[in-house]
Amino acid sequence: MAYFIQQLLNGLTLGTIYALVAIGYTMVYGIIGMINFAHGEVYMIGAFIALIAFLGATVHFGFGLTGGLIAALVITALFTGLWGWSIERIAYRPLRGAPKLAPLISAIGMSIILQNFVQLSQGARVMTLPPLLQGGIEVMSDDSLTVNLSWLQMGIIGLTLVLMTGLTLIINRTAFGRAQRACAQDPKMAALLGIHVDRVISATFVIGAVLASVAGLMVTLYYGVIDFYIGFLAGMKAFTAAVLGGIGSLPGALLGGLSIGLIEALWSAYFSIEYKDVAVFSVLILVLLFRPTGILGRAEVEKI
Amino acid sequence: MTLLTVDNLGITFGGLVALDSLSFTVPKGQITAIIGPNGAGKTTLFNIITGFYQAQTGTITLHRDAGPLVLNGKPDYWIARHAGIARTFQTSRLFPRMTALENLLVAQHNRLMKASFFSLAGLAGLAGFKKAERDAIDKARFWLEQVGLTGSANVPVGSLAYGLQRRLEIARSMCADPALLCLDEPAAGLNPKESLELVDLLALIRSRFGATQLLVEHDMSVVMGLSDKVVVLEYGRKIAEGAPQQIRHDPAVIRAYLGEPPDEDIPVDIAQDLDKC
Repeated sequence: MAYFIQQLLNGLTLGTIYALVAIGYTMVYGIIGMINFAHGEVYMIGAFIALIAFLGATVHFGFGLTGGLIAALVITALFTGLWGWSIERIAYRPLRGAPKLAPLISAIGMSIILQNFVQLSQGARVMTLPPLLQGGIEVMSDDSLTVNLSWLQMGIIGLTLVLMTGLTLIINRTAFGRAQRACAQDPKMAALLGIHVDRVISATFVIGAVLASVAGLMVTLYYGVIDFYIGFLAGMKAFTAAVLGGIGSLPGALLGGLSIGLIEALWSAYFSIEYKDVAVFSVLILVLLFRPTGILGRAEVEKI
Repeated sequence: MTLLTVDNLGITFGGLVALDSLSFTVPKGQITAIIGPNGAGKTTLFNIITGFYQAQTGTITLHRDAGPLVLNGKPDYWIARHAGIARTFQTSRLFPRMTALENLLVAQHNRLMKASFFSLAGLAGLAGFKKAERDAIDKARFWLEQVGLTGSANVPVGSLAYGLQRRLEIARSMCADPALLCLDEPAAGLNPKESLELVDLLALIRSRFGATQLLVEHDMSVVMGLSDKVVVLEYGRKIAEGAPQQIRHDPAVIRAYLGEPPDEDIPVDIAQDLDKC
């Protein structure tokens, strides 16, 4: 029982990280109907900026642990947001009127460019950060095992919930959120009501990039190991999460992310850890076969 | 007083001349109808005025109190925001997964964005934004009342009846305080009763709110009952312009709608074949 609870907590932590990345896929798909395959790379860049910012703040400028973390969070969000904005501006906006395949290929190209850029500029070796936040609270214990919820896990789950709540408020309650939804439903009509659609699309990419960068920061702290290639697998899993939850749906991204995190953790715990990715991507295939709209997705109704 | 001057406007698509040196004026505070057979270029004209197409020749000028504003070469959101031109389409273009109230709030986007400092003040819940948001909601409720949809404020508009959706679209356009309201076949698909209610609504918008309207419409009872001025197009050219009574008896207009009177007799053998049918 204790083992199960421990895996559940690990799965939830992993799941919230996937969920943060999945939001970027789902929001971009919602507004321009394309899968941004470079989004995993944005997350990877976020992880690198987080590492650099954290080390710079603590080692170079002598910030403490808390100060270093806050500085890393702010700097990571800022610079990764800028990356998100630039990627859209360079690779996708010029293709706005093009057939759907063109931006998709452009996204794959962007993904390769970013991977290689980081590999060349930061090196191909694995970067490590020693565990910083030790300790936690004991949730329960039985004779074989003590279930431990670390401070870091609490921080990750807590920050994700705060960000998710904030995003939901922005989308549902503010003028920008209404414009965002309007552009997703009918961009041409939104423009005729005076909304600068390109700017709303840019803002959507920035929001997606900022959330992915927070996920990158969390992964850097949680696992302490990053390299230029982490974006690919994490991106694919977050994409799976977005599809599982119903692409285009924000609550779906959270639900999908948590589900994928739990599937991965529990599969690793009870079956074979080598096959955990197989399990996750089997879910993608099953969803696409039997419920292509995902858990919370809407079927597109063709008007006749 | 002229609100909009269209001067020598032209556009071609490949070899097709959609509009050919078209000139007319839209008087302020009145309803101007654009009529013509299918393919005459009416919707193309709307698409140019609202910035969706760019004209190849000619100019469109909006005369505001602050001075004239040339609309050529400006993008669609700019024309909506700075020139205050609102538009409806032949079919419902509401945001289907938003409520009626939200649809009317989207039309007030720019004012709210400014008041909320790009939504930042809105998130912080600052007083100035709260007031702007309240005013926007009041305005939306006012227009819901005008079109008789007060009870449906919080209903997703996708589930409203078609006739109500068309009325809601007009309300949404009016929420933006437009200088010019372009209505593309507002009566299309409406039953006779809904059509009459529409005429009343548009007349009210003219008399009570002084809004200038440009109307493309096929339903002649709507056009004749409502418009102060009619412009008739055929194959992208203007063939008549004037008051509805004048247009009704204009020989060029009658020819455009009913065709040329036959100027030679049907050959005898064909006439005999026709008799047998």
